[in-house]
Amino acid sequence: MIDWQKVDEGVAAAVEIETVRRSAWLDNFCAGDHNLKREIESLLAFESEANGFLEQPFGPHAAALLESEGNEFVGKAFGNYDVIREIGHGGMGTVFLARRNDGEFDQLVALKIVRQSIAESHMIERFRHERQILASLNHPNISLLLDGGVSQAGEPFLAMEYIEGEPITDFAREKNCWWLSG
Amino acid sequence: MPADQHDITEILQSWRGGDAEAIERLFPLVYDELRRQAKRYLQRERSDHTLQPTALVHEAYMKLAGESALAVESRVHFYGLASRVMRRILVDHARVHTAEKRGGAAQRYSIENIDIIPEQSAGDLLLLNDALQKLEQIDERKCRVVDMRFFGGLKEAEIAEVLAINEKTVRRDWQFAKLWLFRELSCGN
Repeated sequence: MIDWQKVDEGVAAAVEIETVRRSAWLDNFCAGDHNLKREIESLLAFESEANGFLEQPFGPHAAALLESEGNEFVGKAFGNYDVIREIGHGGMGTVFLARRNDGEFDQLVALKIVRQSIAESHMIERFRHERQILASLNHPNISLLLDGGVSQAGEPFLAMEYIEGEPITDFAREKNCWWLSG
Repeated sequence: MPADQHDITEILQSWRGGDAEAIERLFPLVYDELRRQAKRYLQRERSDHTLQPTALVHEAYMKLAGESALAVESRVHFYGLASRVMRRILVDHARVHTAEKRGGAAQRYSIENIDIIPEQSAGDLLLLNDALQKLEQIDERKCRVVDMRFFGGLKEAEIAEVLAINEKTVRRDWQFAKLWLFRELSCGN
């Protein structure tokens, strides 16, 4: 049975000692207890490797992890696209990051999906209208409409060019846009 | 089921009154509140995908403790508890996540190489959690230090206060825990 108290003491003291002098110090500290020495040395062996380990709190990973959860669309296919994660949502629907799944070529897209629960006839009509307008727009500052369709469950979707950037509301706030003040 | 403010105040009072077990009764309440806060936080901060555990914990505290105005030391103890809750929440999520990925729906595509998918994080987190549970058997305090620092984002001074030890001991525990966990994760399997 290993005396963890001793291991703890030994490790804490040994890290303060120059590497070349450690073995001799440990011989003295462990006083013939080979198991103890082996245990301490096997922990110290990871000293440099473990240096940056866990030093960054789990925050950013936590966000990605929590975000991928609890969303019924993540992992599902819409047309030729698999939903990866939510990017944002608005009144009509939710926008997801999605990836082309037919193997023809690799492409990330922004997939906008109208929720079935609100996909009533007039919403679908509006969504189709939006899609039609988008299809006719061709401007470098407007993300390109790539594809569209209806899922098996009847949710209409559209696939747009995926552009990394910040939400326009954040951008406007940063620039102190007049229409956001007050 | 969310408890009402009355329950929480009562628990916090008996805790302040010296009932150390009382804090355990807070666990499910903190769990629910932290999840709620995380959800809100992610919706608000969606653009940069960061999540500051300390901010979450603080908001959960404000929400739960509210007007009962705990002494500073009680607040720090609350943060200590919340760090543990945070790990539990993330582990629960990771379990669901990896289970779903192994399920039928996920077979249709292969996205392991996309780093924005927390596949890796979920798997790593579960391994880390297993290792932490082993460490807890050996030395519970070191496990708490990791919870507070890694999952709760607490500072050394705060951790020292929760555990009633000095900061030097916190650093020493942290150093040991890192070495032990790293070895466990490298060689343990």
